[in-house]
Formats: sequence, structure tokens, C-alpha cells
Amino acid sequence: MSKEILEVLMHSTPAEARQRLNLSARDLDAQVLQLTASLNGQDDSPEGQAVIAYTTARSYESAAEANGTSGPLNYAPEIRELRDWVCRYYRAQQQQYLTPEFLEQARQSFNEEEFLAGLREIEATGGVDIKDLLDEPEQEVTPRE
Amino acid sequence: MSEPSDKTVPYWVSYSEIVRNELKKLIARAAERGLEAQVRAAARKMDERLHIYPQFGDPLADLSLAPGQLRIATFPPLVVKYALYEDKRLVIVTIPIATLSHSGL
Repeated sequence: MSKEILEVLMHSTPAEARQRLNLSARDLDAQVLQLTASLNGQDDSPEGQAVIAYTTARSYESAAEANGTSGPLNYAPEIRELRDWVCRYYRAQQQQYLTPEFLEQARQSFNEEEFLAGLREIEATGGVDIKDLLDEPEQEVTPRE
Repeated sequence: MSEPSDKTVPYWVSYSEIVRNELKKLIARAAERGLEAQVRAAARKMDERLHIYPQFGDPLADLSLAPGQLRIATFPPLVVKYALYEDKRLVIVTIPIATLSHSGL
């Protein structure tokens, strides 16, 4: 058990301590799954998907606890490790597209002026959402004559 | 910048108007080519992932104005460049979403 958890338990009520231990047990389960997925080395394995689902849920819990305050979220070390693993997992999936040549081209084509103009617009307006575009029903297309 | 409306997301994601407009055009173009469902699914996945795991994109450059990083990610057939500001839990997308070559778009 990590020092941090011991510290929390020593300063918690019995109910809080029980809740914290349950959470730690779930985190540990997820870490075992993560290890299994890594050892199997399979994309989209059930273990990998379970780790992602669990880590995502825990990330949302941390965000809800922060209740809209800005600044980095306070993840438990176990969750931070799981998040790193998920990011590596996703990064590995896109490596076939992001070749060194592709990345170099993307770096060179980056237009800082264009980026800054967009940034200023977002600072002024708060930016826009795209969810409504993505949830629209599919368009009916009239075939071109 | 305005207060984020959704307080429960790990990262706030803001798009510029031009990104939204260009995405709308891209979806229309995809519809003409029978790829609308694929593009919408990819964009949904992109939006969801940027809200939770924005660190997964490959770093392209450090940004000079604020301690942020420019990253790139693919959601075939889409390619997105975005800025990640860890200290604010903020992701900014100001460059129109592109498509992979040979994607038919």
C-alpha cells in the first residue's frame, strides 16, 4: 500500500477509509488488467477496453470532484499511471499514419499566424462547440446529374 | 475566455468558428462521396478523446505565448492539430481539421 493511501486512511473516518480502500482495490484491478493487456500486446483486447473504460470513468470522477475549477486534476498515482498507459495505447494506434515524414510536414505547414488568429477569436468569444454538427441526422444527397 | 459550460469534463475543448465551418463543409463533401457516417464517427471520437486524453496526440511544437503544446492526432480519415494547455485543462482547436491523403475526401 502506498504511503499516500496510508496517510489518507489514518485521517479518515471508518466509512471514508472503507470507501478509499474499495477504490484502491478497483484501481488495482484495473492495473492488473492493464498489465494483462500489455503482456498480450493485442489491440482492442477485452482487457485493454476494460482498462480504458475504467480509467475514463475515474477521470470523469476526478473532474466532477474538481467541480469546474481550472488547473490540473488531482489524480491518484495509480490513475495517473493508467492514464499514461491509455495515452500510449492510443498513440500506438495512430503510428501507422504519423510517420516521421508526415510529422515533419505537419510541423513545417504549421501556420502560427493562423493559429493565433483562432486563439484570439476563442479568447474573445469562448469558442464554439461541434457536438450539434456531429449529432445531426445524415444528409440526404441528391446524386449529381 | 468564457466559463466552461460543462464542469464535469477532464478537459475543456474549444473550437474556432472557422474549424466548425470547415468541418460542416467536410461533412457535406463526405456525404456526396458516401463517407458521411465515417467522418461523423471519426469526429465524434476525436471530440470525445480530446475531452479525456488530449495527451495522446504526438507533440509537434511548444507554443511560445503560453505554456502550451501543439499536438497532432489522427482519427482516420481525419487529422487534427490542437493546442493543449495542461495548466488550464484546456484544448484549443483553431486549425481546420484535415483529412488523410488517399481518404477520398
